[in-house]
Formats: sequence, structure tokens, C-alpha cells
Amino acid sequence: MGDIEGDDDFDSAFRALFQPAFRVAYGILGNIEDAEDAAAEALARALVRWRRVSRLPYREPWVMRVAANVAIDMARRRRPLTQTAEVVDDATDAVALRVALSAALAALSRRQREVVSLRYVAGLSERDVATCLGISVNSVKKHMLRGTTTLRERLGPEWREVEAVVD
Amino acid sequence: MSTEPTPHRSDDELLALVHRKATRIRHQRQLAALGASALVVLLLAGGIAIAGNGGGGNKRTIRAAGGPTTTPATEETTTIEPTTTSAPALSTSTTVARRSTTTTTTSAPRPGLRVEVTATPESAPTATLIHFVVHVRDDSGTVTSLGLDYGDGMSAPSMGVAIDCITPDAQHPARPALPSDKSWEFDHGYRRQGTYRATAKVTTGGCPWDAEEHGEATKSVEVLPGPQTSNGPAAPKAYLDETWPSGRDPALIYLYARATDDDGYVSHLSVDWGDGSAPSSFDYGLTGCDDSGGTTWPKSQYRNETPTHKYAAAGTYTARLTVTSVGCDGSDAQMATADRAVSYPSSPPSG
Repeated sequence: MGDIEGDDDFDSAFRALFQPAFRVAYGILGNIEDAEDAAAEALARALVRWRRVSRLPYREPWVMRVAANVAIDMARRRRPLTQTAEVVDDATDAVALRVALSAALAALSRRQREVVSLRYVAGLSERDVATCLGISVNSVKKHMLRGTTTLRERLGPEWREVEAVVD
Repeated sequence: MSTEPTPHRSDDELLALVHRKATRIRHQRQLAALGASALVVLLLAGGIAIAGNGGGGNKRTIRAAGGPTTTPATEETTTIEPTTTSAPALSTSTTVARRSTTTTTTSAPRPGLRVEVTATPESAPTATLIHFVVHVRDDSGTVTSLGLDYGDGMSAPSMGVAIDCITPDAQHPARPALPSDKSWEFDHGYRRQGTYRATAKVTTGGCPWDAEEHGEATKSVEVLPGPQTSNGPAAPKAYLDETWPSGRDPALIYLYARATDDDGYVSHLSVDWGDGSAPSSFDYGLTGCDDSGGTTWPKSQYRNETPTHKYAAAGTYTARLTVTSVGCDGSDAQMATADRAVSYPSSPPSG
């Protein structure tokens, strides 16, 4: 496969890309082993498309976005949405809140989820999120507003705690 | 996060893990390219019709109406050929691997059909090609028709799918299992800004003794304003008033003319004094027009002028300001006017 030709180049970029992907995944999953796995999956997807991804001016955000999606999918498979309420009720620490956030994120549209994850969990600026997703800053704001409104509705008073934890 | 997490595994271990995962993804891609379903795909418009016995005793070929009859596959043999369909304007062609296999299985309840549509990007300017992928999974059914309505009055070419079926008999008690787990890809560019819902409609089943199942999935895409070189939709505004600057010549009338356009370039401003004399005109070149390289309407803009005039006779006149705005390419002129009654000779308002 032609993509394999860029493996050496990928290996040298690996360290710089893995850490932000891991950070995003950890912010969503709250578990180091799972975050390693999610970040590795994101990096693997980058590797098989390396010829294209390596040329992206925003390849780090690209990997972070993929890591966020992989992590949310993992969280969704692990925690059914119906558990959200009781998990939040018992939430006494950041991990429980992360679980609640992961479950709530899964209720968002994919674009809202990406925007909220990259903005809140990965800590990207609105402009960087826009660049990463190939949309306008105004669209980022719009998806942020809709996404956080939904999260606020689903999480109730815990939303403020989530904001404090992920900030 | 307040504390920065770090991976437990070393960089070398993680890099090895990434390569293993990448290898798995590549293998999955190769398998997907070969086609997971056992069917002959004919990308033809129309419904399903029985083309006749395919020979070999109990085999039949089902094909889309109007299309060629497929050669019945020899049992337990597989042929793979690429099939390409043409697409309408702004839509690209689609290539699908087609595969003809005849198999025999026992009957089993049909599990649910799952249809998914993705769009990349989900938000794009007008005329940008959006890549749609329709993914269909049916563990015991074959896609027999598939269509994608883009939601703007255009659709992907509908397609029918031909299947080799085996008539149930003592040796072959039920239809063949023809699992579908495939993706079809389409590209489409929207011409106008808006939010559209693309809808994929899928039918699976196909063999004449099978119940058909119908699946549907929708995907919203947001189409943003595309490159704009012409004038924006908002009309320009004209404002005309009399003014009395300090040190003015009492023999002259001074008017304050102002033109604005929120999304256009004010290129011309003219004051007709209402006495049959030549108007005072002001033209502005396009060099100051800024539309960010064609990505937006022209930036909001205004022009102020203070033309003067000496009437030949005392009286009341109606002066008219005419404003013209254009796009940065000079096209799509829009106009606005404003009238002002003036008395000559003029005197400033008291107080």
C-alpha cells in the first residue's frame, strides 16, 4: 500500500501527535489504559491515511478530533445512556462527572460532539476548532451553543461541575 | 484538566500498538474492497424483475428492469468486476465492486436492516462537493435497490441490483443468504445556502420468495454562503440633508450626502439639484472594495460628500441623491434615492 511509504515519517511525528490525542481521550474516558487505546486507534487511522494527513496544516487537531470520536464511541459502548442519572447522582469526583459527560456527549449530534470535545476537553480555541473541522468560527459557536444547551439540560446542576472539571 | 495524565506504556510500546492497529485497518480495507456480500451488482435504473431461469436447474437471475441479464454464477464460484455508473451534474461517478456467488443456506429469520448515511464535510460553502457514504448492513439480505435524495431536488441515480437466487427445493430449502455490509459513495455540490436533509432509501431482500425490507436514513448538511463576488442582497441606503458649514458662502447651498451599503460597494453617488442643471457626481473606483478574496459579500461601507450649488433664482427646489452600489467585480448594481427640499437662498435653522 502506498500509505506504508510514509511510515518512517509517521514514526518521527508519532510522539508529537500521540500526547494531544491521549489527552483528549483521557478527558473523555478518565482512564489511562482506555485513553491509550483510543489515542492509538486515532493514530492508526492517521497512519493509514498518512500521505494525506501528513500534509494537513491542522493534522494535530485532526488526530485530536478522531481521538475524541473514538473515545466517545468507547464510552458509549461502555456506559449505556440510561445510567447517566444514577451515575451523576453518585458523582463525587471528577471521574464520575467525566462518565456523566461522556454519556451526555453521546446524545449530541456528531458535529456538536466534536466541537464540544475539542473546545472543552481538548481546550482548543474556537478558531482552531473551526480549522480542524473545516467549518467557520460562527458554525463552531452555533454548535457549541446547541451542544452545551443539550448538555446543560441533560446534566442539570452537574453541568457547572463538569465545566469546572474539564476547564 | 488540573493534573496532566501520562500514558503508562512507553513510546515504543504505543508506537507498536499503533502499527498493529493500522495493519488491522488496512486488512479491513482490503476486505471491504473485495466486497463482503455475495451478489452481482448492476447499477441500472428501475425495479426488480425476473429475467428467467438461469439454467442449472434451480438457479434464477433477478435483475433490474431494462438491464442486461446476468450470466448465472456457477455454484461456489465467485467473480469480481468493477461496475461504474454515471452521475448527473455536480455528482461524481460511483464505483462498486460487483461479485457473483451462488450459495445455499438454511432459512433463518431476517434480522433488522441498518442504514446509515454520513456526509463529509457536514458543513461547506455552496458548490463544494460533499461526500456521502451510504452504509447498509443486513445480515441475511441483499441490497436490491438504493437511492439517495440530496434534499435539494436532485438525487443520485437510483440503482437496481441483480442477484443470483436459488429456488427452494429439497436440497436448497430456502433462499441463499446474501449478507450485505457495504457502502456506496456519492458526491454532490449544493448550489444554494441552506440546511438540507439527504435521505437514503434502501430495499433489501430481492429473491422472489423473500419479503422485502425497506430502510431509510437521513443526514442533515449545512450549506454555507459560497464565494461571492457580486453585490449582497441588502440594498444601499441614501441620506440627504442640508448643512451649513462654518465659513460657508451664503450664495451656495451645501448638502450633506451619505451613502451606505452593508454588503455592497458604494461606487457612485449623484446629487440632482432639481433645477435642470447638471448633477454633482462622485465615482469611486473598485480598488477599495474588500470581499476577502471572494469569500464574502463586500464589506460594509459608506461614503460622505458635501456638494455645493448655486441656484439661478430664489425658490424651493427638491434635490435628489442617487446612490449606486455594486459587487467587487462591478456587477449587480443596486440603487437607492433620497430627496430633500431646499430653499434658496438658504439660512441655517435658528438656535
